[in-house]
Amino acid sequence: MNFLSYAGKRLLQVIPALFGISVAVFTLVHLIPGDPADVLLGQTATPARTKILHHTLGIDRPILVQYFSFLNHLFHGSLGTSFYDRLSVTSLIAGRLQASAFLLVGGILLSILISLPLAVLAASKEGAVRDQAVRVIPIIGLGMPQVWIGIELILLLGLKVKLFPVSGFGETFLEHVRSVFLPSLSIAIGLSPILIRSLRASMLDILDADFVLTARSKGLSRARVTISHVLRNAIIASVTVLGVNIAYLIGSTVIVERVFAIPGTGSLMIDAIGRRDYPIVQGVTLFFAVAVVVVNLITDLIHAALDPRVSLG
Amino acid sequence: MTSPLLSVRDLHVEIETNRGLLKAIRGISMDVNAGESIGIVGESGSGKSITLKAILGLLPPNARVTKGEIFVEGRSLNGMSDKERRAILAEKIGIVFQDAIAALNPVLTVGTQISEIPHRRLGWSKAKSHERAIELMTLVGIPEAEKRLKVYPHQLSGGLRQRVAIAIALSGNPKIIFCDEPTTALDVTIQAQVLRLLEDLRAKENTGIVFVTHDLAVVNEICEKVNVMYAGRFVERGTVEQTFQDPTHPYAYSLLKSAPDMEHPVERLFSIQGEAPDLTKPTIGCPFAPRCFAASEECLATEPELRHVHESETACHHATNFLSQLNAGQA
Amino acid sequence: MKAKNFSFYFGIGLLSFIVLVAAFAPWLTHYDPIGQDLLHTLASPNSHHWLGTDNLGRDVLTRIIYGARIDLSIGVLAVLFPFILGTTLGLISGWRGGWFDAILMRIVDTTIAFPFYVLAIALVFVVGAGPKSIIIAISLVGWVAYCRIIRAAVLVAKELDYVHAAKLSGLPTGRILRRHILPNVISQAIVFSMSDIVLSILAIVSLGYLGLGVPIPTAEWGSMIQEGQAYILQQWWIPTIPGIMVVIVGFSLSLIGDGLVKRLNK
Repeated sequence: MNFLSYAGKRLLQVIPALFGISVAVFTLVHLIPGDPADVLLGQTATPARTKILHHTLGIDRPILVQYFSFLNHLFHGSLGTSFYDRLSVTSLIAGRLQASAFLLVGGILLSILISLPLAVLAASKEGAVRDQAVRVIPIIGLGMPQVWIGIELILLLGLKVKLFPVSGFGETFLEHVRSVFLPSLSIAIGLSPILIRSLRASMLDILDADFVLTARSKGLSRARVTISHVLRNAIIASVTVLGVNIAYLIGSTVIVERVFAIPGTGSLMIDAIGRRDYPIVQGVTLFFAVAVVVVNLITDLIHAALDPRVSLG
Repeated sequence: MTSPLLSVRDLHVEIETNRGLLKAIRGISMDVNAGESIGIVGESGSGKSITLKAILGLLPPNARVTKGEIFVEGRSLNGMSDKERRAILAEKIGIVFQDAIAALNPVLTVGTQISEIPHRRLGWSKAKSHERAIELMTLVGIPEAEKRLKVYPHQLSGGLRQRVAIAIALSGNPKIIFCDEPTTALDVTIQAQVLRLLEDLRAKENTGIVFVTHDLAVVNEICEKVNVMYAGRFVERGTVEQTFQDPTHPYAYSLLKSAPDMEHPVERLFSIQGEAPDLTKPTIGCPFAPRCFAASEECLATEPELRHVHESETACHHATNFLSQLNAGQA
Repeated sequence: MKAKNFSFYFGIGLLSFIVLVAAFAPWLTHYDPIGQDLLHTLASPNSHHWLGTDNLGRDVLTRIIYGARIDLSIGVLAVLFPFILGTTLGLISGWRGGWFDAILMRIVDTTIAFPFYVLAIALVFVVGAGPKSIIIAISLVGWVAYCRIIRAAVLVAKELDYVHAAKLSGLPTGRILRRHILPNVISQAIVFSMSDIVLSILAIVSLGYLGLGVPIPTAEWGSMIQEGQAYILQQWWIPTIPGIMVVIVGFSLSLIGDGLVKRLNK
């Protein structure tokens, strides 16, 4: 088996996942207790409006017909239109994509930059003071609310030291990067308890492995052993650990976008909830689930490209 | 007389564990000469693997050499810088571990790993290092070496993987090879092939071999000399012939009796009662005494040192040639 | 060994203290957590208000204490239901296998494809804000973890000799599951539930911050963080202390969880 056939096989596995997601998101509207239209319209409900909304939502038709029409729209790239401003949900999401992508990439990069060195430091001498110190981080950090981390960072690095902007997304690429720094950092800090714990365990396995002894017995310099033998395995471990936690990471962006007023997909969802704009909530939910599946696919492919045991099974 | 290739004097190793400081090795001395094959046998936990790792400076972070001196071709390594010591050891000694799948880096090709010493340490060109790798792979009996240069360890069978590990150990032209139970993870036929390969290398290249194992049959097959290890010390040493025919230490005697299928007439299913001592606690007297059939008051009070008994060296107050006596008694 | 035991009991002690303070809130403070006092807004800590007052003149310490009642009780309830549901489904799934297992695992895969917060937010939206919805939303997502943990453990446990023996002796399935399998597999779920309580409190706080949690003006740590954000330069402690409370709760539950792991591994 080579990389391509692995990629093909992995791609096929995406189909049932997407099917499940479509069913779940479709079911969402039916979870609304009572008449969804009444609930969605809230105080603005009148019999006439309710009837129109029934039709718009399609819930006056048999459930299977509704599902297939929903699927049909999906295949044509349509997630419906916003109740509020009549814009297509697909284009609304597309417009918010850039900011979220910046945040996601920033979050991933900073997560690795924070967690990997600490994990390596801890694992380099198991049981030593530095190991004990790093192991305390997950114990204390587990309970840090993402929003709270964000606000404390705003206070310390944004308002007191004025190093970084505390809200918005800016206009130019450089402003984007500066703007997403603090939010990305909040995501990375929030994720670090989980990442450090798993990465430390993986690093212990790697540094303890006999192949490191083999490399050392070859009389290579410490730097050479690290670069040729430890680093690549450490990166593979990081990709695996990130892959496991990617859903959590993507979910964090929704909350952090709110704290830093970043006009991303998550903000779109929260704003839509305020306006009871159901199609957007539904569309963004679906979008996020698909994003998780896609990012998972990407991490798996990166893993396979780096690790011959996966691709050459 | 020229000095031995490798000389170890009074080596002590301590390991920090959750239960306290473990005195894993408590004074070991040995010499290795060219073309010599020396076995170290003992139960698991007796300190055999740690001995090899301590000599090569490959101890885990929680373990350290607390005493002792190592000489390579007469030069003491004490007082050398870390870098110098590593260079000398790596040049003279190669090591093969028990589990090749663990000992080979899963994400690098076999070729990269075998050519690493020539390319990275000796500074050869890539092409020349690759040629050397093919040569080594052929030497250790890997068919279609050129093709296999680009495969990854997990794509090879267990036997071939261990051959790759041996090729790596040989890649720096060492004078001695340390074998840390290299055949334990292999099935019997492959085990025999690997042993034959090592024996050939010793005969052809005059390589010294130190073979650590708990398998007496393997020692019997490949080694000339044997060191029986117990609780971090050698308790008996001599030629394989002498020691296996006529062990002078009660532990060696019990071990041989418990071995299922040796060439001598032994009762089967004899296993040594009791457990090895806990080396985190100070040992008083002979550490084998609680399990020994010949133990006396003296054994519980003072720990015996190695001394000449018949043609072996034995650390036992009551050392004698047990098997001969037993046979004489039965006759 | 002693140090490990100490941290376990320290965790229990710390958590008990917070629970007791929350339980006896009305006796510990005479302020009303939602009673406004517009003459004394944004007061700095003083002898009357140990942590000052917020923008509506409410005593911050009182709101923190009453917030503990809300966040802890919802946090525990939001773990209890998924714990029971997930454990039951995991038991059946692991024991029976077959079509039940296949379908359940597809549902599990689908659920974990959604980012937790996104699904929770969407669910709270469709079910309507409030404590009940939060518990429903977290339960609908949270059972998956218990189901997976228990199912994996059951797959191992059902191959144990004495389970085979129980099966051969013709004991009813329900009894085998309850008396022979469950005691074997439940410990991992209990350990996980410790950190899961932290995760669910984090979710409540986050939803509260987003205005989707417990409706204001009820004292709740998440909405306190949100309301305090605007006054962060003057009264940094208003949003900071509720967060520290969550950290302390998380810390004590981590210690308890780690202590449980060590006890169970003995």
